[in-house]
Amino acid sequence: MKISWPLFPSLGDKMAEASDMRDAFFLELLRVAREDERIVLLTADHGAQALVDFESEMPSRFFNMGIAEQNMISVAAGLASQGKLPVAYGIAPFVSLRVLEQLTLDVAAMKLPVTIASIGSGFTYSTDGLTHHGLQDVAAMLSMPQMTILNSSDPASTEAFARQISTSLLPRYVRLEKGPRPNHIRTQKNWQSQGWGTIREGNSPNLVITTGVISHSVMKASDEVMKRKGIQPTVIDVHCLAPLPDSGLFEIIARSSSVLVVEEQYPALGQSISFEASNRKIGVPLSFMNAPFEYFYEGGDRETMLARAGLSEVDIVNRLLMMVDEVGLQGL
Amino acid sequence: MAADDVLNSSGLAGRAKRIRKTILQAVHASGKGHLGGSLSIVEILTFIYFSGHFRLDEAANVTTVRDHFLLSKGHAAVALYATLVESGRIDLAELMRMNTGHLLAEHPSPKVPGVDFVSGSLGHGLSLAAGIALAKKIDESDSRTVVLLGDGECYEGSVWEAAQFASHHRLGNLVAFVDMNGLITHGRTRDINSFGNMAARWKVSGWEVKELDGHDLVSLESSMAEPRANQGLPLAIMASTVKGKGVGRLEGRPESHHGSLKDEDFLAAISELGG
Repeated sequence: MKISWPLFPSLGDKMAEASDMRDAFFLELLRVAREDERIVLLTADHGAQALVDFESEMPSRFFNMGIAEQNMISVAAGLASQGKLPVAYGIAPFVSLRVLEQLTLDVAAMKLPVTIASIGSGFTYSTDGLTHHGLQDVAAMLSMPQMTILNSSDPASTEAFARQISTSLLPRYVRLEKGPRPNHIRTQKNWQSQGWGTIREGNSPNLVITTGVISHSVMKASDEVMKRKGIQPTVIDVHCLAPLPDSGLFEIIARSSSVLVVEEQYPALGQSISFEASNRKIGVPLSFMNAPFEYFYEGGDRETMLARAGLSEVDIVNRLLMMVDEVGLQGL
Repeated sequence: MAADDVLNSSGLAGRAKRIRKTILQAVHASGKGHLGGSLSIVEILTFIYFSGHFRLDEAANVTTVRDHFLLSKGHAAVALYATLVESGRIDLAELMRMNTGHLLAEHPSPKVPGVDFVSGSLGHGLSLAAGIALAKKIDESDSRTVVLLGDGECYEGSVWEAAQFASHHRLGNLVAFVDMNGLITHGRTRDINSFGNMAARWKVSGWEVKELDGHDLVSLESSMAEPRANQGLPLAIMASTVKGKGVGRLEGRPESHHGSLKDEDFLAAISELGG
């Protein structure tokens, strides 16, 4: 008897309405895979509702590799070398840190079109303790030339990343998120290709750059600041963390009075922006909100862990208030 | 015609001798190299490339079926390079400037003609080969994939992840040679951290296993005597070898792992191989 993902029933018709970010990715992947026979899905025994439908519809292109991430990544590289487009799925630390060398040598150095679908960015698995926290994966992946790193903030972004697998043949690390989120409204039509999108046009000269689902906290914080002060910064969501976009992003940074980078992980985007701004001799004051460089041994819900890391919505409101107040002082 | 005659007429023994000599020359020119583990795989490489059992012809392209070979024990790159010189893929002159900022380093890269993957960090090749074999199985191609591992490499846990995966998916189009020279840099595997019965390990991982003398071209030939079904079990060949094979002062010595011979020892070794 075949027992298939007993924890997750098939989504069936409900899939079309999925607002869960992870399901949106796998639903789109299934659609793409119907048209593109090169797509093969590998999982390190990690589930998702939408995987049930992929497995039942395309059993010959679905492989549960067991809890063997090293083998999964190198098998994916072997498949990709023969023209397949493998997607290897697992929890963030296990498909990044544990397999860093396989990713470097077998995927990135070989420039093979393997997609790592990583779930559990930041404190997604907050109660699971530090083995499951996704604070380090992007910093580690940034050490790897030729690896594209994509971070999702809403179902629209995860869907877009799934579509790219068939059209843009690159090594890529895609960070998914579980649970529903509203779609950001991005004002640039070409946000997918340019690697970032403005999600809030502010009325102050300040700029907040963020990435991943913490962008929703930034948006709520910005609403609160607007309510209290009648002023709010522009907010940009960067989804392409590597290669760092150069399509206009640094021109906006250079025009801003100050820039705050908010990320739910150890410094990664903040470091990249700081490095590149320095290279470009951009003198705008930069500040950063990120997970402090320490291990979080405790388990708690995401809000608790974010508060402990100084990344709660209240923390962000307070930083934005300081930001817009500085503008006021400069104006006096 | 007896098997020995077949080998002689196909020139395999002569090729092995030339490859061994080329390895010595290249390492001597470079001043350093992984001699021991390169000399131990000469007959295995000769068999893989020149016996006619595997289609590794460079003329093959994506429109024709070809087989794939991966040197998972990448530190023996100089043996692979010497084999590629023998097959005409690499110029001897290129090999003689190994490690001097040109094409060839002490571990292989895909920039080298005839090399498909980076190797040099152990424990990757069997998984890569399994991925290639799986792709060929999905495509219902009769292409086969051959991978060569060191026995010391089998300390890497990822080897066993791959072994289990390949047998579970019945990758009968996959052949793994294990160079059983019994030595790692600092001594004998059985003294340092014993594998016990290596063949039994592969068997229990679900592989068909053959054990043979890895320097005996007749035995290697006989390992392919029976037709293989691509839907069957993958095949692991435990090839007993001698590290440093063919050079008396290196044979069976752990210190042959890396280094070079003094001029007089090099000349003696060349002479030992028949000049």
